[in-house]
Amino acid sequence: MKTESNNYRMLKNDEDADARMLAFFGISGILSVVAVSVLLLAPPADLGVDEGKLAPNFVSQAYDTSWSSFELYDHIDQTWTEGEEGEWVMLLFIDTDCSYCFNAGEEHSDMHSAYASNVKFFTIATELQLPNHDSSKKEIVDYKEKNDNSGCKADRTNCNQRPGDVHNWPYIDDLDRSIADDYDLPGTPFYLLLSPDGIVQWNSQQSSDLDPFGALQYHVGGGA
Amino acid sequence: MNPTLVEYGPLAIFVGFTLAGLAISMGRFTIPQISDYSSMKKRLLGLLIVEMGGLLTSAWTLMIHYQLATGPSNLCAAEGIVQCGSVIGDLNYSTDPILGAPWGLIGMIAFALLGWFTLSMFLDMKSDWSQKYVDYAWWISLPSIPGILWLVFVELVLVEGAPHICPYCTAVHVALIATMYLLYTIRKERDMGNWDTTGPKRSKAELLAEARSKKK
Repeated sequence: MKTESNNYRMLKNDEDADARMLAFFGISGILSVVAVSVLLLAPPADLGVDEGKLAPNFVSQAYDTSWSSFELYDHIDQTWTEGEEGEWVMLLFIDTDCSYCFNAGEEHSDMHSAYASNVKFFTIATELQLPNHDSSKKEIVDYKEKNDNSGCKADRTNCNQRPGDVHNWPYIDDLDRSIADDYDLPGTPFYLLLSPDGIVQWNSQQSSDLDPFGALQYHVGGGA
Repeated sequence: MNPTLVEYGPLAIFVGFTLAGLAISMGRFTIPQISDYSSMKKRLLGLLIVEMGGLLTSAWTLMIHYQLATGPSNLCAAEGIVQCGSVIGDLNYSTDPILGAPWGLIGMIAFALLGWFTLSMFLDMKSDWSQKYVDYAWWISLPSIPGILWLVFVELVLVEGAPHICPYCTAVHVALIATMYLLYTIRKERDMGNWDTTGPKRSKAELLAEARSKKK
């Protein structure tokens, strides 16, 4: 039985020897060594939205007082360690046409009032693929600023009727649903609380026993 | 370790692979172990070295990509025009638009595939399939032309703060262009009838003749 046809020497004596198989093993070996070295020297980040994972980065336009570019990782500090000073990050996923989000407007205002000193708030305004859920950048601004616009809450309510105050934190445009897709958005409203190093500490769907206020109190401490 | 050495030392090694491969292919550099190789065999050996250099450089860009996904990278500069951070770290352009795979991973797979074709030919230039493999490798390398043009356009125009030049990406592009050039010259030489048919493997007829002569 011939089993040595992959041996280089067999190429001289074995008519069935095939250099392609030998080359395959050679290149596979090199590729394996290189791949293992990459994984050891620079392991890929454990990205995800589950608690304990690093929240995926995203880039978009954000509106605070005007539209400007926004990148999540500009607001986290990878070198932060537990016990150090640092600002936590609360990501609030909403749809300006979602009635649950609309009604939570006051809770969002209250959270911000209580925790703005040590938590950065970012609302990600996405567009659910449902009837009458057609939003726009103007509608996002009007929802945030409580401006006169009859298009909020699935075109049934004026944006200026939204409970709570004007939201004085950035609203991020996700009308193309790219962030929602990256974050496997289960629905809205959806909340993620990140520690200053960007690790998800609370996922509102995963740990639904806590409400947003409870999560902030548990992880960040008593609000102002 | 000196940060500049970490940032640019590997670049010198990777570029060295490409230059060494080209020099061996063109007969400008030789060592005693390969001095009796035919010019075609030297071309194939040089091509293999260029491809392995491309594979290593692609792996380095993949490491930078993974580091930049979680923070700053110490494997390449992050400031200035010549830097990797704004190119490999760009969220929109650092992966291919179809599969979402990092460009470094695609480069590793492409160079490994080209390397397999080349090593197969190098080991057995006598086989019928060997000369056809030059064409297969050539055709497989062709999509790299629009790929390189697109990535250079991204570097110079599309990334944040453009223009930027990513040195390791450029080293991969140079290795790919060198690969294509060598494949082109090997095909041309083959078409001129300069294929080297010596090699370790013998044909059935030769093995039969040898067996018969031993019988006698």
